[in-house]
Amino acid sequence: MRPLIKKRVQFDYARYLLSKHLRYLVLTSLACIIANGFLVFTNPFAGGPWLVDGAFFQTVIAVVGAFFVSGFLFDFLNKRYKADIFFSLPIKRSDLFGTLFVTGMILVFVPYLCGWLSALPFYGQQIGEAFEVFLINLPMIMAVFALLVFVQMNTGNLLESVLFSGIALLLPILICGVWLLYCNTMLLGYASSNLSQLFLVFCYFSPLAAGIATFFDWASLSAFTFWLSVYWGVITVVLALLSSYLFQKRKAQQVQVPFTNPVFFPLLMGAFALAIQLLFWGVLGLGFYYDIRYMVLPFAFAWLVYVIVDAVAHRGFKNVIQAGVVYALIGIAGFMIILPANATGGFGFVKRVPDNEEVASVYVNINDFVLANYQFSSYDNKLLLEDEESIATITSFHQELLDYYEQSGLTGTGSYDIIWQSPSVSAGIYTYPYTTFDNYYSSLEITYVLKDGSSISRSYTYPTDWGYSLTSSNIVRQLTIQNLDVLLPSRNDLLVDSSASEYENINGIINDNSNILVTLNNLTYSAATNIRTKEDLIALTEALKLDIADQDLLSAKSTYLGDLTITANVKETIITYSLDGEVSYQTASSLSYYAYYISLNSEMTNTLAFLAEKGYEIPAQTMSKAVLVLPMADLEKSAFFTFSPSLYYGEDMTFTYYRLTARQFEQIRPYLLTPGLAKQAGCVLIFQDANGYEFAGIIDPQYTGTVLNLLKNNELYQTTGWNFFYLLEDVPANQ
Amino acid sequence: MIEVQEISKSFDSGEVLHQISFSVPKSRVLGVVGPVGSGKSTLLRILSGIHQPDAGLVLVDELPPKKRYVINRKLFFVSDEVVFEAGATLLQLRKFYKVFYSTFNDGIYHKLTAQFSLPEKAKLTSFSKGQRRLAALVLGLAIKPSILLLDEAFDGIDAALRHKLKAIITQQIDEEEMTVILSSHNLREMEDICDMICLLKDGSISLFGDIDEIKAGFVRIQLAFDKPVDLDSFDKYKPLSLTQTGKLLTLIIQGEAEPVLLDLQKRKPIFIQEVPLTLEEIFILKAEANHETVD
Repeated sequence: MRPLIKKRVQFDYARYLLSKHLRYLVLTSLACIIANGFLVFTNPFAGGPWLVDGAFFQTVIAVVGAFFVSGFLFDFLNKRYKADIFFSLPIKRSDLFGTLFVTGMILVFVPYLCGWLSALPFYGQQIGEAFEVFLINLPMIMAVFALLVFVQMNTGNLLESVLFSGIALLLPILICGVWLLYCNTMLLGYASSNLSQLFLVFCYFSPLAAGIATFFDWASLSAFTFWLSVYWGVITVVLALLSSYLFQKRKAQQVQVPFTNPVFFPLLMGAFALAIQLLFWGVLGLGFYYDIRYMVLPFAFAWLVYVIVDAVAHRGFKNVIQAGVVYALIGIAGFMIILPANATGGFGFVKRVPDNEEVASVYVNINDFVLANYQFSSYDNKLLLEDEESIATITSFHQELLDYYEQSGLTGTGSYDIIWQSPSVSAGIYTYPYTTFDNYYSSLEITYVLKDGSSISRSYTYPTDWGYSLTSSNIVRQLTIQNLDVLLPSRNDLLVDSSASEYENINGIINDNSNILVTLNNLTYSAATNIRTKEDLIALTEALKLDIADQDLLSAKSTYLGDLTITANVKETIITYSLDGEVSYQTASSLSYYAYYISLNSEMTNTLAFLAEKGYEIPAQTMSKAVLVLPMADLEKSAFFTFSPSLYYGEDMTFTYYRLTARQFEQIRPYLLTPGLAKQAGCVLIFQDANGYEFAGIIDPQYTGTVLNLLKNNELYQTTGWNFFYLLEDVPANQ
Repeated sequence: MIEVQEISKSFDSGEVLHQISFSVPKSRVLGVVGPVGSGKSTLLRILSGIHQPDAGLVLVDELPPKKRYVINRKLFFVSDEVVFEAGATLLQLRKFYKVFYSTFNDGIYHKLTAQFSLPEKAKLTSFSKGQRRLAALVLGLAIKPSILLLDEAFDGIDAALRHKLKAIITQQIDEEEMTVILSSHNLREMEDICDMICLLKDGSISLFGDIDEIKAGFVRIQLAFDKPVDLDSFDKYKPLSLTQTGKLLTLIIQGEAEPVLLDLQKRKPIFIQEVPLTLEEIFILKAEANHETVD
């Protein structure tokens, strides 16, 4: 090894270079010491994440330094008369390159090492982690330097080498973003298994991406430290060997000649322009993916970008036709891959539903109004399913969903806007009497963990009624129960207990707002109560969990009592006011947080008992007038939302109206479906309370006959219209 | 000994050198001349290893081109435009060249910097063009190369210093058996220092050889007659030039002088003498013969 190094590195020249650039070495070392050592040293006093602050800045210095070092060491490649001096020196080209490269690595590495060593005594218990970060950053920084040198070997002047080095370093990160955008826009159901994992993949494409990940996603990266270090170490060596080869082949007359390697520019800029094409396709195509113009425009734009950059690189438009043809070929090649990929769902990739036997477990999350799982940030809460039955339910529903999309003529994005525009869906909404309104959609996230260790992630947005089979499964109940924990007791930012020690010194400003409000939007009455302690919140949650576990969400067996809404305040900022160094008072600003929403019925005895214990009485229900509306259509499914009765539909339909007495109203109530999703279109109960507010509920279709039998003498009339609420006006009030 | 065997070189703009062959023995000084774009600088850059010939070979002391780094230990090239790094001083360059040339002689370096009053610690960017060229030459001479390649070597150096420099180079040629190849546009200067000459035209050698031999190949004869003569009668000598000033005729011919002189004597001139031509005059005549001007 030593003879090899000795042969490739002329130590006397390396020493000369180091002594020549001693001032640079000292200054950058000092900068790194200040950036890392000083920040780590002062961290215990000032607070803050040392890893991000110190090591990040010193890595930035090292990367910027790599630009400078590669620039000044190899600048003779860009200056004709200086090239004369270097190319006539009595040294083998390979040795000259080896010496310059190794010296450059030392000039980049030493300041970084100094910064790290200066912080070493202050790392404390984090020294192990700090050492790991150092070990992973070292080959990445070296790889940045190697890449910069490699670009210099392919370009003809300093400006170009800086510009294209930047592009080479950032391109993988751009591609990462473009890939995500494109797939999310164009590939139905595409979801990256894990953004961190995807970014980790790109850590193997750009040392800069790897460097960024070190600081911003260390948790994910730390597991790969060793292999990533080895990888970038190998890449550094490979780039160095390639650069050495190009250096030896480089002709002296190529000084100031753009792109000494004719393949480099089309490759790099072709990839860059193609990324731009995809980016614009993704952005413009969002919502219009089937419009041919939104394919042509990005292509034309990327083509223009390529031709302009080519003209800049070649100092004129003499190469314009060739450049135009080259990018046309690249762009067309891109189309030839992308268009079939769009049509086939990423060559079947996103349409793949794994066999049950392949799946070890599934993570599921559903965001759904009807199922009362609607909440903010629900995506953090995924239900883990490991039993065969649940896995089979998910794979079966997954396939069902894909079939729905196919029937609707959708192959591209799962964005609800797109679904809405789909001809079959937009036609379908007018034939469903009670369903598919603009904001009544559900979203589903599935992550299959396969037995071979890989994972498949998909994300769908679909009209709520498409999800009937999933809703009727036990999975939704499990998820609902799990959500209760995630959304309520496990959240530490809810302002539950205003007397908690953290806020003892508060002068009372936030006391009244710091509770969780439980509201029951009853059929005819709305009432609220406060939960003032964390213990109460846990008790309510446990009561709800017990009740939900016994519920059949799609079967009416009990009397619907209303919708329980839990609203909380979330801590946002705490401001402390001081007087003479003493804390005088604190104020907190809070954000109203719509924590939970669930239908309450008479079978939910545990919840009702809790509410009763807290002095919360379920009020008696009254109604002023009510009708039952029977649609004259036999439709397969019907979603209905009891808390949002502003229903209408676009085309006139024929309905039969039945007037209800107060007694009949009470008789019908047990047949009311609380989640509001029925397998078949059935009767809708519409009523008005004493205050004139209108409410509605869907009758369990299996009891349609029973209900109609009760009302056989109450038929008002048949009518055709677009808003069946409107007709309630014709019904006299009950006394 | 430098041996150039049929080298050719082309750039994007076209062929610059076409099948050039010559050899220069040790301790000789070869001057390369030719019009602008004739390939002088390219030839010197190929000899120094900066450019690789597309075809042909350059052998130095019989070392093959693969041993270029060995060849370059014996060789120093001073470019037509002397450019160093911004902020570099003569002292730094001395350190730089000492790394690569074990033959670097501090004695020669100090003697020459003193002789030419070159400040060691001043930035080279503050030097005049002539001073920068002198600095490069001083460094080149200090490494005691076997071969010194100078492209437009004396450009920008004043006459007195030029004279001094030539003396130093000549001394080193004698003492170190140094071979020098230089290009210059000043033909008088070439005549002073060179003992061989290479005239390039359109990338090919139009004239090559020892200066004395070249000069011996051209004869200027001045003669006068007591009565008018028919100038056409001199055509049989194929003169390169024939001029008449009063009774004095000047005839320049290429080839041996003796037979022509004997024949002219038969015409009974009242005055006849042979006057040597300068190199510049020969090149001008060659260039005029080709309807060109010499750079």
